Amino acid sequence: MGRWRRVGAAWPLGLIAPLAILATALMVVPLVCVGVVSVTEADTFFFAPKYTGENYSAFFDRYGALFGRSFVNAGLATLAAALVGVPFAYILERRVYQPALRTALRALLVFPLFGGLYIAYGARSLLLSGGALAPVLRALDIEATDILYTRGLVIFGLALYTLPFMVLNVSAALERIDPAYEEAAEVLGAGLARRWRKVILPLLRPGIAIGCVICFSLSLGEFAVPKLVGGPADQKVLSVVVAERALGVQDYGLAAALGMALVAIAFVVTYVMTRLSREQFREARA
Amino acid sequence: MSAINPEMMREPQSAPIRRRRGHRPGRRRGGLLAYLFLAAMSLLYVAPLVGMVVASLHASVRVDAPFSVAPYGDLIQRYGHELGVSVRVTVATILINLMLTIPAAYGLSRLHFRGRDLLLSALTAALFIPPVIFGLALLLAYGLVFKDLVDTLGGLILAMVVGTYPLMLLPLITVLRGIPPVYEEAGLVLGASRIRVFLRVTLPLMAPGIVAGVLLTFIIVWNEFLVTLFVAGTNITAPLLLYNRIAFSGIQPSTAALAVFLQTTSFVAIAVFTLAVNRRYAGRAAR
Repeated sequence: MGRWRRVGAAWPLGLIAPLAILATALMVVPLVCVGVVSVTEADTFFFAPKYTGENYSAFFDRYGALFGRSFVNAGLATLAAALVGVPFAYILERRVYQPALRTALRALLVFPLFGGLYIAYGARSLLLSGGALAPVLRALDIEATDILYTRGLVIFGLALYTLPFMVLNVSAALERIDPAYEEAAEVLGAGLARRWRKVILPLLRPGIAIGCVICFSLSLGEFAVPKLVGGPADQKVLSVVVAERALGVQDYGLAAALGMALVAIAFVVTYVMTRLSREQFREARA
Repeated sequence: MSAINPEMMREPQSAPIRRRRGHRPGRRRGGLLAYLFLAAMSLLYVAPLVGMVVASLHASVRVDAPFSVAPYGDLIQRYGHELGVSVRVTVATILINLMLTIPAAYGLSRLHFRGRDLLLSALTAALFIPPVIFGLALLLAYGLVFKDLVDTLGGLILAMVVGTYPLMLLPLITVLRGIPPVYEEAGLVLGASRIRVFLRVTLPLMAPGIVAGVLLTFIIVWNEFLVTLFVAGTNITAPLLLYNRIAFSGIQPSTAALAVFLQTTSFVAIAVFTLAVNRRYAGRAAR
């Protein structure tokens, strides 16, 4: 395409410039603001800003448990999504042949895409008095609040919310793997457990890894589920505390410091993702 | 707004794997178990929606209130203003996304220059930033730098644009990379100008990517409340109102009806677009 190249370097820049300018103004500048606010003493941004590391030392002193809780929640949700999502994707790809059924199952997985808000609200409306599950709970003699507003339900909700992303990634990986490998193992006498351990899981590893990274980062950033189905203690996770520090008590410095931690995690996640997808691409070509 | 990953943009493939005889589920051990597992999972995914539908079909807040569809009839009257704001924000975001990303996708996939891949990675990094951080960052940036955007509809729309444009950009680039350059070269050789080739050849071929991008942007913006919570000010959208009602008052039929309405419209949009794309493109491929 020589004619394209002759135009020179100004062409592509002109096409991309509007988007690049917008991204710089509304993504780079805001993130820089977060960084600056996180090291500035409250109320001194406008005149003679004073810099301080107080916000960071504060969150290390007082919010260590917050990090622990956030990571454990996201980790357990990811584990659950993997344990359920991998077999789900396998059955969907390899055992469901009716196109209509397959489409219907995929369509169901679309609901969490709309956001954790609906999962949280759905859980509440099912369990609270007058809800669809209330008679069942009464028959089993369980108080709704034994389930609602617990950490268990928060993790369950996060797993439900992120499972489709696991299924999609594992499905995509399965589509690239020839079923002949599994069939060969079966014909040669390998049992179910052995087939999974020796053939299927090793082939799926990059796909599962990408799925786990996505599920973990989504769980960590999710706001509505811990906020709306967690009890007071369960609401003390990174995403909720950032929002409440900023909007509730307008302690922007601390919110920004906690936010910087989330941004750092997001960048690590992006880096790991890029590495993993490159690995998967290489394996697919090999 | 990292809720979607690029894998979602793959068009559904109807029959990707070779099927072999003797591989039917009924003839396998564990086939029934597999179907039971799928049924249980399906139930789990429908349950929240069922809960909301049941909660919405009551005449009043009282637990023993009689069955009624009135909460749906009152939707426009009760939430018309917020739904109006939502429609305006969603439509404006989609249009601005299209105007920004179509030229950018073209530049990033058709033209060669140094640092292209790096620029693409940098432009799509927004996908991995959690919405809470986006909200906080934009709140601070509007307050400190772009003071004109505080509490404006424009500020809200720009916040939505910057959170969702990667979801428009990525499918467009995927589609453009799949179009062989011969079509465009033929147009150029036959004497059409570059602009004419773009409008008459490239743009129509980009249609599936445009559809996917519009759909993804619609789904995210139509249901977005968290970034909105930070930057909306007085421009309350329907999902933000929904969040406020859920957070600060109990289960009300009208709130549940709004939740069902927002989800149903999102789902119908996906279904219609998917069916239309499948019919148009799968049909053509089969012929």
